[in-house]
Amino acid sequence: MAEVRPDEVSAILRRQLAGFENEVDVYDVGTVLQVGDGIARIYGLSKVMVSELIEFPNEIFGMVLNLDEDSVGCVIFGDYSMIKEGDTVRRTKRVASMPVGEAMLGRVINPLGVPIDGKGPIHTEKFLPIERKALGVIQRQPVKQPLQTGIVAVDAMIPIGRGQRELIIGDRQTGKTAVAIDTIINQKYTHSEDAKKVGIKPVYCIYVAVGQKSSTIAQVVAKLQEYGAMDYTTVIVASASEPAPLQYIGPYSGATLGEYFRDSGRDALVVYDDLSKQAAAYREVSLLLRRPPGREAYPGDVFYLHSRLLERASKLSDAEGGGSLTALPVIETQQGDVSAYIPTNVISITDGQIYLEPNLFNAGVRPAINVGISVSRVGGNAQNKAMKKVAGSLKLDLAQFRELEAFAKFGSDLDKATMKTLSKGARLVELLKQGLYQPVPVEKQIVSVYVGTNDYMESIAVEDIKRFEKEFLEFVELKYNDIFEKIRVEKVLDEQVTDRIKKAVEEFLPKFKKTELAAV
Amino acid sequence: MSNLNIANRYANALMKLAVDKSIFDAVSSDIELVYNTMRSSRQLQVALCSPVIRPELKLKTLTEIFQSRISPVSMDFIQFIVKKNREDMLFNIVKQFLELRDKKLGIVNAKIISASPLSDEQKEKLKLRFEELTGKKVRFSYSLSNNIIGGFIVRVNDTVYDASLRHQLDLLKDKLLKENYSMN
Repeated sequence: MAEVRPDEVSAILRRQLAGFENEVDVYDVGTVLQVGDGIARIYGLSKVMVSELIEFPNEIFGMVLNLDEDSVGCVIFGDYSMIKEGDTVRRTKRVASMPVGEAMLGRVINPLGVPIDGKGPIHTEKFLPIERKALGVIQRQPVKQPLQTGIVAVDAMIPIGRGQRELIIGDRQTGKTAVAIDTIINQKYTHSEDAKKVGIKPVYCIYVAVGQKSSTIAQVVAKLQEYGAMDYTTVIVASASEPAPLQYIGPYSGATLGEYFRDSGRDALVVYDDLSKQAAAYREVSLLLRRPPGREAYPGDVFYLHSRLLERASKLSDAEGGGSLTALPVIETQQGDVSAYIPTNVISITDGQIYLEPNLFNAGVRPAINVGISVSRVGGNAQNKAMKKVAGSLKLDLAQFRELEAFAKFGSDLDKATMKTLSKGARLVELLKQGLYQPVPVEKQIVSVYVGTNDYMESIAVEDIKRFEKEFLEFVELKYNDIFEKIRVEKVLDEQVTDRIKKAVEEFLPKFKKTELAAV
Repeated sequence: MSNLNIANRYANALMKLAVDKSIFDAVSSDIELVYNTMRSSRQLQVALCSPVIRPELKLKTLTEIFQSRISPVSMDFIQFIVKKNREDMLFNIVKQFLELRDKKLGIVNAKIISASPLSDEQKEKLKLRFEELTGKKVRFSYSLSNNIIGGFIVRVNDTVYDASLRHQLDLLKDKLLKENYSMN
């Protein structure tokens, strides 16, 4: 039988206690005057800082938000029913901060960095404050590298660059989260050896879930795991059942973790899903702290709430390491009202928006992106040159299609040119449809958009477009793989490539018709 | 306006008056007397705060208690407060006055909680150490508590100097628990 020798035990104890010094411990304290609804007022703590973490009994933490003349107002991150009037509160002398590091990847944590996925403690070495000032002009450079979402409509017409802030806005149930999740899944390619060879840097992802149902979050995590995206992703959860203060700081924690990757010269993507719920949580906290309400009862600094968060997204200059933090904030509108308070605020802060419409969604156009009013103000500079070339005519064709679409409803006689525009438009709309969690690599996107805009699909029925695209891409992959290879490596669409695509289409078209007949 | 604000204003006014008339020492000992009286008698505090008792009666009571014991200026001040219907604030006002006085004289209050009574030598040593630490004169008040097991705790304003055995044990427990998983 194995034995433990007593001297071994005492040796271990001595080693454990080696660093322990019994000096006088000095700390500052205060007393709880009033507690309730997730906030507390404290007397004392005369030297406390704004947004400092303070410790209540039972290891509950709080954050100071108000410094009043004779009391301190703070929010409580935890079960406030455990705190009583007269309890002693201690300063921690550090502003609200969270642990950051590589070890966070693949984990599900709460906004204070505490793991909640049951996989044990996270070993990190660094703590960073949750609220940090955004970088200045000197440290930045314009957005210049693309961030591929894998969604054809977005990558072609609303391109997103690394370091950009692109808003995803739409009513409930229009696929906002799906766009964000697709984007995260599509970053898997950037972590591969192939991407390294062509000089694409890996993108680390952070998904911040604010005020969502825990079941929805569990589904998202399961999907990310299923597609192998959790290896490079951290999920920060402040679900609907968490106290409002945690929901309020959730997005800031996400930004802090993203900044850790950015500051070490890497690229990061952070999704804030969603900021309307964060604004509501902040409203709750503010009203409880008796800050004066403004429009829609939001406090006066609700614009600053979002602007200081989104300003932290940036592309660093080469001197600073060239890292980037891309932000994809999500806003849920009510009944398509984009002119409400919070949506207009966030629209004005971001570098463009992807607008999702319930009508399109119900008509089967999914992702339900309204390309007419969706824009990207800076992504164009970052777009793949080859994609830029083919996307120009796509945008134009779709714009003409939308203009004529209304006329077509009257069913009157239309001239040949109009008919042609309409049929081409319908085919392009069909081409942009895409399944859930099926991101498409950029070279395939380019080839299919090229084929669509150059009238090769005229002879194909609208309902066959998706099948045609799928089979054509498979055909090219088998017989003309050099096309994909060339676009991927050189990122240009020169005469040589277009000739090869033309050749491939001309070879494929007769074959496709045959299979169609055979099917009948 | 918060209660503290009001008390502060009255206390400040009395302070200025006392300094101007150079009767600061007399007034401050008067106020200390009032403070101690009120602190020891809960009945008096309750009576002053009660809206049922008429102000004239309150004034009469206060006059009877303090008239012969304090200077005319202090008495006038108490009368003035009652006249302004702030008698419920009287306790806060005198407390605030004493705080202002300590600030002016450079005195800080320190509470010492110890497990066993301290010897005079220990008290003297603590006093010297804390006067050095705060750079001010320190007025100590002592109390005993079994809860802390051994050692002592000194509280100066919001800062606690904790040298109790209970706290050491708590720290040790935290340390052992936290390093538990790296221990193997």
